[in-house]
Amino acid sequence: MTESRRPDPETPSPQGDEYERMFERIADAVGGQLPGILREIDAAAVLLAEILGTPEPERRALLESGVRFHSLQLCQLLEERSREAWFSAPAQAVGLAQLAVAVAERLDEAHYGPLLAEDARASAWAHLGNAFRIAADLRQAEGALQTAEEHQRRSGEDAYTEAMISSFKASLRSTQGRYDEAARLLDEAIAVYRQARDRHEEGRALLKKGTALGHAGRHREAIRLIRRALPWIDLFQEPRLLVAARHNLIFFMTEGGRLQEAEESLAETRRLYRDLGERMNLVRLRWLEGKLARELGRLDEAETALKEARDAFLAEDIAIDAALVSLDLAIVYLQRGETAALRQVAAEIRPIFASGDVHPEAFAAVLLFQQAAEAEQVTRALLDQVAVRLQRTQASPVG
Amino acid sequence: MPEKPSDPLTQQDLDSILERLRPRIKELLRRYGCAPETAAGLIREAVIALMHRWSSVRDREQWLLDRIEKAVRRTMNSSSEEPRDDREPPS
Repeated sequence: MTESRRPDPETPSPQGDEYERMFERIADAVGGQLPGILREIDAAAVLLAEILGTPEPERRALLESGVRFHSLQLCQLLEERSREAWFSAPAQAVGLAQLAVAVAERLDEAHYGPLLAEDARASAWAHLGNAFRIAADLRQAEGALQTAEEHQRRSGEDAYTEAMISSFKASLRSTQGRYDEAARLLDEAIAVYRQARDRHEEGRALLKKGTALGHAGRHREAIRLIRRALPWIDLFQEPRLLVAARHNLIFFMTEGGRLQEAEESLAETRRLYRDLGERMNLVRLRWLEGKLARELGRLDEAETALKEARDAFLAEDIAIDAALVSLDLAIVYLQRGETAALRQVAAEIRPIFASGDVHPEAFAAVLLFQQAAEAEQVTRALLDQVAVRLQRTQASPVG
Repeated sequence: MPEKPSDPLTQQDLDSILERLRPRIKELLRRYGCAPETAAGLIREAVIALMHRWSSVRDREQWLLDRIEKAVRRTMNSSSEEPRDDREPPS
């Protein structure tokens, strides 16, 4: 078979003209497909509106019954909507990703080609896995990501899908406290984005790796990696990611005792938070200010900032963050030896966790804190341990 | 994963990407010894995949080149495992 020979690329080949003719044929073929794809792109938005306008229990049946819904572009739009709901409405994100899976499973391989269809399935299952993780269903997350990997192996040609699965799996491993595994998976994603010359996504993966290692207590490595990520992040495309990166950098500087550096970085970053103008980011800024003030020994300033942040999270029913700020506040009272105030802090976060709509690990961690506060046996080590358990259950704003 | 720059997909953009990549793709096909009739299907499939993922790929040329190389490598590796008609029979 002539195909398996390896000729010298420098030698002029008699196939040269054939290659030229091949390019002409390809240009004609893809040009012929373009109008159809453009029509599919336009139709997808209409189909999405139709699905979202249908009552939830009937959506799946609608998708399954109508061939017009079996569209790759619709599948991608459903994934996009699921991503948008990750942090604001995790249950909705799961529902949308399930619809994306339902569409992907019904894509016509004769129309799209088997590899593209398999790739779409891999991507849809990966989105479902990540949505399950954020919604605290780790068992289903694991299963969905495994299915994504199986489809990806059958497709195997879209490096972005491969990197996305690695990145989502890394987030799951971080949630499970398996930080080294998370870092290894993120190395795979980093290599893909570097090869694809996608600096922004490389920056995100570096930030995620730094954050995973930081949560493992490896603050120096975390700071180094996040610093490497910063120049790659495109401020104009995703200002929120840049704020998240600078926030995490300052957070790990504070955790690592590099207080002077943290204070200087915070002074440089304040404007970025304000320019972004998102209320919850400003609350997170207040939290960081309180934490840093506490470590610098400015306890009154810390108490004021942390109370403001905690009240804002409580008002928005953001349970995990409210609990984490409460733990920071508890450290202030512990340092002052104010046991009554400490008990009160523990009692104040109870109602929000009583709703039952929280991660079981988070609930257990809060219970441990409350029991220790009631027994007046709270120590700094216990508060740190509870904080680590709570942090794991958080959906990272990095994505 | 966030939104990427969303310039619309046009015939002109596709043509210029293929035009710019033509020497590199030809070099790649020669390097792997991939015949035009085999390569045509692989490249067409990769370009159609790019058209579907247009708004989510940042460096489209690099993405397309990587995808074509993967497809060519996979195809040529699997074909080189098959019996070759230019091999000497065992003595």
